[in-house]
Amino acid sequence: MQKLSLVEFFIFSFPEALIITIFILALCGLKINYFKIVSIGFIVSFSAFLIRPYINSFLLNVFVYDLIMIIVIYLFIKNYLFNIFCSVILTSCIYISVENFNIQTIMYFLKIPAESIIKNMSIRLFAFITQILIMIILFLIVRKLNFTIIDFEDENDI
Amino acid sequence: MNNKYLSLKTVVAFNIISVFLLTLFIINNFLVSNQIFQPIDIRIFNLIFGLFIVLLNVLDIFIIRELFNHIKKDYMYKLKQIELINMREMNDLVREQRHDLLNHMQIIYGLLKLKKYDRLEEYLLEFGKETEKLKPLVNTGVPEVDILLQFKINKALRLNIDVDLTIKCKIDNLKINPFDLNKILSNLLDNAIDATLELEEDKRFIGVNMFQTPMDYIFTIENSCKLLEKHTLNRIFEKNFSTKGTSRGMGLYIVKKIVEKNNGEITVDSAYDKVIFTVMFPKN
Repeated sequence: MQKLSLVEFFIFSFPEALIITIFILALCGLKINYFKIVSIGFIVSFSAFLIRPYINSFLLNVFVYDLIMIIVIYLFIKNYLFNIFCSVILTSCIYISVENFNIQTIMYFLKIPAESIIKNMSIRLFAFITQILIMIILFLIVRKLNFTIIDFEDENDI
Repeated sequence: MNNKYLSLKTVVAFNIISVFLLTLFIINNFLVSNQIFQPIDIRIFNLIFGLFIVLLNVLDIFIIRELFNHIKKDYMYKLKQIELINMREMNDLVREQRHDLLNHMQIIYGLLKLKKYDRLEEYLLEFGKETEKLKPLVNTGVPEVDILLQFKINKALRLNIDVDLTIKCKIDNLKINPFDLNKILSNLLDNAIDATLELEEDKRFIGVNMFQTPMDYIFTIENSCKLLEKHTLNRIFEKNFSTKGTSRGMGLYIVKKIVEKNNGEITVDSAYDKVIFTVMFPKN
């Protein structure tokens, strides 16, 4: 895959990792301090930044990205591996689905090919901002309605 | 229990991975059509991917079967627990009766020896009433409910509460599972027993009725009690509301929740010295 520049890293990769991290933690029902969230986001995005040029497939890229995310979050939390695993996979699904939906919508309404979205910086930024906004809305819904993944220890069901 | 959680976790993990792979598969197809981020030979990737998804789905079937087996075993275990409690209760009653029997026999023998036949007849009549308490009374068509009702009725009788049980139909078409139904009846009967115990012995009464309409099964549980004010009745199903003091008041709240969860309806009425709870469940 194409190597990212440092500017692209700070505009796209780092905020992307940050929102994904926040969403994963919300799904897990975990609350950690902002410094740790930023650290996780930075480590994951920087690792992905370094590995990206050596991967030539979208699928492999997603697998590697998720694997890094699981390892880094687990190293910070030191517990709840299963919950972290499920949250990372689910968040990944949601994120790439939103991304796909977003790009398809832009392609349909603006009548531009997918390649232009990648190459044209302003369209790419526009697509990215809308995607981040959708993710923030989803995150707020998850937080507000407390949509954490299953708590296996809770037996106090009616 | 740990096994159940393990299976449950495995099912969740497999499902999440399946969804993840399917999502990737669909999105990757879109990217393939636009020639974005693709390796040179995508076919081998797609083949491995497809195989992996099929394998996961097949494995899912076995895991879900295993999980259902665990749930079934758990259900049977709970059922046995209820049966065991009931057997212990019945056993206590029998031991109590056997203990008394020797005394009764001695008295009967004494009255016979003294040729006091009138007193003997009275005594035998009273003795007959006492042994009636051990007769199996309940047959609702749901063994779990029978056990519970039998248990609660025996408990009430031993506390000198007059019990009237009327079962006019058999439950053979009810959607609610027996555990939920037992939770409801158990809570209502416990409340009824507690309420009647506050009264003098001759005023203690509990009535349990079960009948059906073309559309519903109806259970009514009534008991004698102290006069309930209207605002108490209005708040009776509220969480943490209790007439029995603080740190109580969850029973009827839970009952209402379970009834509503099963599309049923529960009402409460009070007249002079008794309160009646009516629970309705639609037939399946």
